[in-house]
Amino acid sequence: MSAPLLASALQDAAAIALPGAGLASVDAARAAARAMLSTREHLVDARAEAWRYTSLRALEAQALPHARRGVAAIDTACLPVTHGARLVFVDGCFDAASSRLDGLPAGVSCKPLEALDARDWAAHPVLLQVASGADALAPLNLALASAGVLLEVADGVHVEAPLDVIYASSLGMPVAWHARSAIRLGKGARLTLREWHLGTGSGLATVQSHVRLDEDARLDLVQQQEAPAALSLLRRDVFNLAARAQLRLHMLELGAALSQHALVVELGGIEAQAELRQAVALAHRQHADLGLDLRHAVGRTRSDVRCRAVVTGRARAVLQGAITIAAGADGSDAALSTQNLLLSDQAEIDARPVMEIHADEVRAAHGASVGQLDSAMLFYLRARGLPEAAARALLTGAHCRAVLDDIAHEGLRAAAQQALESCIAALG
Amino acid sequence: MLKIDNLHVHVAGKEILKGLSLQVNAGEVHAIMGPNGAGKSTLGNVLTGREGYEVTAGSVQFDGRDLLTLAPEERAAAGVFMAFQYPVEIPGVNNTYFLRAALNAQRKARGEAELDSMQFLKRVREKLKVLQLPDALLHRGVNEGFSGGEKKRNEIFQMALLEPRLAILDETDSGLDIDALRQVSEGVNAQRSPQRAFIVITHYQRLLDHIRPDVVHVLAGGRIVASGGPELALKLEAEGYAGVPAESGA
Ligand SMILES: Nc1ncnc2c1ncn2[C@@H]1O[C@H](COP(=O)(O)OP(=O)(O)OP(=O)(O)O)[C@@H](O)[C@H]1O
Ligand SMILES: [Mg+2]
Repeated sequence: MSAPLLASALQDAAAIALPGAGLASVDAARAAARAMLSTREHLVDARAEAWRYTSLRALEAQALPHARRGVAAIDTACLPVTHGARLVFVDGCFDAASSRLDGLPAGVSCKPLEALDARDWAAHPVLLQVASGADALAPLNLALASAGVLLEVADGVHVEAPLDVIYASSLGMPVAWHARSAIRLGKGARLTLREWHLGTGSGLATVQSHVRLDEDARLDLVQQQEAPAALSLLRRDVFNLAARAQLRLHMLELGAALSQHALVVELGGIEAQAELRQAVALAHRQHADLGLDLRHAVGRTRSDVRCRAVVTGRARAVLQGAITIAAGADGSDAALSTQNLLLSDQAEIDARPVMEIHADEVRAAHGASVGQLDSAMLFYLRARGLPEAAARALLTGAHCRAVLDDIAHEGLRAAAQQALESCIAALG
Repeated sequence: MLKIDNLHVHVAGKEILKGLSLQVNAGEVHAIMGPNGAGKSTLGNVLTGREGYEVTAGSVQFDGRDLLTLAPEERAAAGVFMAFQYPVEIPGVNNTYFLRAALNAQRKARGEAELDSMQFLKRVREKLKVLQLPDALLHRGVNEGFSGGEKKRNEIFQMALLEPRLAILDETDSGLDIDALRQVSEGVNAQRSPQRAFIVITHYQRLLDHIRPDVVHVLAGGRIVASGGPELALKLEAEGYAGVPAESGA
């Protein structure tokens, strides 16, 4: 007996017209994904290490219908300020009216999944591949992906204005939707991208992306997760970095009832570097889990991971996974720090990432801390007249904001800080 | 304005203040001197409402109100300010933002209109001039990476900005160079008025050359053991604390 969520997904997958339908390769891949899905009983293997802290049992017990085109609607005026081109998906459906794709510089191609032609699908096989494994999330996502983008930046092209991919949820009733993206930056290309989750819906969303950075490319990515409070959001991002490529990733985890983010970063070329920053602020019964799999595959690669979480109520923040420096990846440099604030007795933080080092002459630094607000600081602020709640919010904000300070684009930085600020003010 | 009567305070289970009495009237400047560990900072901490200081007996009245029942922010709004002996660094909390929030929180608590950013900046400019604090410090985190002297000057700058009715300066002079000592003293003197009072805690007579006290007290063993005019400070400077009456005195 498979879980109700999977059973309903299989029914929908056979009945709904999805992007690429009618193209032989797409149909075949989706059929294979459905076949895989039909053999699964559960969304994930609850015994697997990756799912040690996060249970999807309650989620998979719901038979969620797939979101249908036309039912969803969002008021464009509700969308946040964006600075360049943007693609808007509402409940997993591309919203052409809210999107703006004109004005992209030459050498940039950006299409919603539904606009891909046979050549696009063929040129980006990751869009149709499912990693092997026991997990039903990957076949589920492929079998039903209606949203997502194909984004390509040609060699040497620098895109100045940041690009936004917005996933909005809007429906009153719980639905499921799935997004799947492929992003490729050519040699020496540069792009600033924001993935923004927002809205008011509920149900389940899965979002899976493959990002390939060619030699000397640089991607500045802000993932601003302000998903609605009743949504479960399951993300998986895979980054492959060639020689000297740079990834700067800022993750803001503020929304969603349950947010699980599997993050795979492969430093596959010499001197590739990844800077990962995560700011988490959770309240009530929110649950956010970041599973990190960062691999230094070759020598002289660099990674720097900094996470700051603040949790209150009965919320739980999880950071797990590993940074691996492979045999032969000599001269690599890895740093990981996680600093966390627990604001209530019933909140929980599990920060247990590990470093596995199989190479020589590497530099690896690793630090984790969990604490409360500093009482001397709190007193100082209050002694100057700030009420206790305001003083707490100020200190809490400062704790998390530190990891957002190095967002390169000023507008994106301000928006991220603003979102964090209002979230923390609401923590109470 | 301030009336402390027979104050007994325990810290970490140990009695530190043992029946301290002190009266400070509006317009006065009181200096408190005394050996290390005598309880001078403890007095300041109790007056400003820091946690961990347990009052076991005695009372503190401020403008006729029982000060000890008020939260630290309520005391601040009532006009009590302490320039800390060791100002804490608060990385990530912007100095200017914090000061404006603090000032407006106080004004709001007193039922006064809040200052908008233009009015606030005007006030900041005026006060900065007196203390010769570099502008750049304002844009950093509170005390973040400030030198020892900069921290002390920042405390006095905050005092000038917040315009308290009672300011307690806890060893604001230690760690200051000669010019900074003068600037800080000017900052304090500029604030002197018939409505305001100061308690200046110091180890050194030289500060009192700049800020003339009305009364000098010696705090030793948890009490005021001697009080006198400015000449008492000179005497202490020359003779040390050996000459003042022991704990039993006062
Ligand atoms: N939080 C605390 N925990 C334990 N002991 C404390 C604490 N605060 C103060 N004390 C003790 O109380 C006594 C008085 O300390 P206080 O800081 O008031 O002295 P002080 O007169 O300001 O000295 P100094 O001139 O060195 O600044 C000291 O013995 C000190 O160790
Ligand atoms: Mg002291």
